[in-house]
Amino acid sequence: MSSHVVDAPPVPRHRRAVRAWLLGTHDLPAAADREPVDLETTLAEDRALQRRLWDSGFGRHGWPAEVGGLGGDARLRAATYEEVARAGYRVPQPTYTVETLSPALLRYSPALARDLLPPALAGDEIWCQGFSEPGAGSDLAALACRAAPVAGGWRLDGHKIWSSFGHVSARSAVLARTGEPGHRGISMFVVDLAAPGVEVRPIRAAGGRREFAEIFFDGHVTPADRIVGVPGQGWEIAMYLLQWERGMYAWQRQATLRARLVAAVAAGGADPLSAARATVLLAALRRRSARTVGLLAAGGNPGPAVSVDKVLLSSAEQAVMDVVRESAAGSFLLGDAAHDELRRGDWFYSRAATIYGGSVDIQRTIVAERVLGLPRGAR
Amino acid sequence: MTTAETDQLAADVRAATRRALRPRAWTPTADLLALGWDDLLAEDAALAVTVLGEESGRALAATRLPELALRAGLGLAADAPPETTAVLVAPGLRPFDADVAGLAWLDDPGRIRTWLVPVRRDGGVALAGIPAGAADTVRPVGGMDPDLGLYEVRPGGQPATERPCDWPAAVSALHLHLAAANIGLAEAMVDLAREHVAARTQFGVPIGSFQAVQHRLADAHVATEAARAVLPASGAVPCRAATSTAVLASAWAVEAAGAAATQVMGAIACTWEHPLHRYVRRGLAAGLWVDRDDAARHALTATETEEVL
Repeated sequence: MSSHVVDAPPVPRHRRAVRAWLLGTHDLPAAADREPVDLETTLAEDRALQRRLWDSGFGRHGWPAEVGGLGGDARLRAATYEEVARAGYRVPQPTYTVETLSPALLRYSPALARDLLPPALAGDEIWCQGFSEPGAGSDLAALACRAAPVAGGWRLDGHKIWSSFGHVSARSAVLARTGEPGHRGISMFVVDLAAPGVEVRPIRAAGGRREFAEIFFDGHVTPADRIVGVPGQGWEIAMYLLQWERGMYAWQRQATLRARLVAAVAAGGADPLSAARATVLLAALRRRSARTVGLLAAGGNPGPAVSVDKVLLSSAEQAVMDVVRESAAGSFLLGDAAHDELRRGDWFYSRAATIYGGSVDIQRTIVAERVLGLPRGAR
Repeated sequence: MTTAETDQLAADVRAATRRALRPRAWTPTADLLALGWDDLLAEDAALAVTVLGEESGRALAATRLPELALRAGLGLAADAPPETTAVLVAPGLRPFDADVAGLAWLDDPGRIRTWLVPVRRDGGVALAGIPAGAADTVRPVGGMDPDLGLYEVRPGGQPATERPCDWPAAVSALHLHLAAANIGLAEAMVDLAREHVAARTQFGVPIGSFQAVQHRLADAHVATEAARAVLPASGAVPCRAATSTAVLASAWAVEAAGAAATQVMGAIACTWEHPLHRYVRRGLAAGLWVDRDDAARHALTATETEEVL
């Protein structure tokens, strides 16, 4: 496959090429201002856009040849997402989990990545995380889902929850206990959700959409080669993966949120100071998440300072959606049109921004103890 | 310059600035000019303004740096040196109409020969030169931050000269200075609070180990880092969209840091003896030079197309 790899373009040239393609292509799905009310149709359109990006080649820039990419690093992917948002399209939501899971898979299990990732990158499959449990949220290392070695693989028993897009996902990256209590006894597996012994039940979010799901494992046997890395390495992999969530997910969100804010301000009715505060938070998030993506792309470790970005992302998400809510007060509260329903859904989703992917309360503790050096507190 | 060269220059300027500034006191303008201010401005204006600004904020040094930044924005020629001329400004940096009674940062009012006054003219702003004289009323300003070195000036004379000026560029440069100074102030307040909560024990443990305390300081740090992220710290002084973004972010950081530090330091922070109130005063006084509604309008025009990846 390496014969397909050309020299990766620098970011500005890649941007210009993506922009020109987006401008000159008139039949692309997933227009930001025509989002369907139900999540399932939205995701189908998003996947179609992902597929078009992949087929055009622009979605393949930034991925290695082993998984069908054209080479170059993650900054090219970041530029693509921002151009997509600027051109008036939705950043395809399945790429949120793709961007979080794929770098970890490529790093810790290149063979698995080569075999499984291409359909997820091309938009043919949605993947989800299987991390949280009813008894393990912020204290993720307390997870109880077990993976026991059996003939042919690992037998999974347990209960996962809050998996975004779980009910429409083909696979899930699942953290399960294979050893001792605590973070050292955890391993990660790529599990097929349609397989026997797996049941997925969607959960309807406060905004109305089926945003996330519960996953039940009841004697499901996942093949031995589906472990990511080695037994006991799950925590390390999860921590690596979370850095990508802090960097690339934050970057993707700032691109999406900026488009929302610009539209709300252009429509009039927004309080200038509130809108300016949202603008400032987004500008800060854009610069910081770009730095994190660049650092990760270069193989660096951004360290505990990425927790600052997560707090910023949460604040920015809520500030933008508050501006959207306030600038459309009448229809936000009284309207029954699809876009009113969507705005309300987005607003409720933004309330989750301080909770998902590591609550801001935990991030503040990390900032206080590991960035500011305050004395360690009780847990 | 490469990034590494810019970083090295910033580090050198920062070290020299720290030696020159007088903490919690007035620093003579001559000491700042002796740092090679004019050359620095020519080399990297935003770096000069922000490094000196941030350090002055952190040291709680009172200086004429706000005016020096403003002058940089105006591109004042050698015929208007800071030794003998001073720019008069109004709250919110609004240009003057008929009645000129403004504020100036001064080392020694007696040395000023000409007051430079931004006056509103058809379609813009001109810089009028009013000769200083015996008929002037000049008195030090007390108020919220009596250590600022500010004077209230009502010139007795009439404009003798007038030149066109780019006042938005002057506002932009002063806001860039303020943004950096506020970041320094905010960090200094968080540092004071960090020291306090690590040393102060209650219930047998340092109070900095309590989440209620930790999270307040973490939020102040996040606000400060956000302000730092949007500070244009190198290159030419940018347009008002960028400096409005920077100054607003820094004002919110100062508010967050001041409120957090005051709360977690408890009663001692509410005393005259403890220095915290002087930082709080400096942060509030910085609001004199920012019309927030105007800054918000400018910040909303920022296009965010700068390549940051």
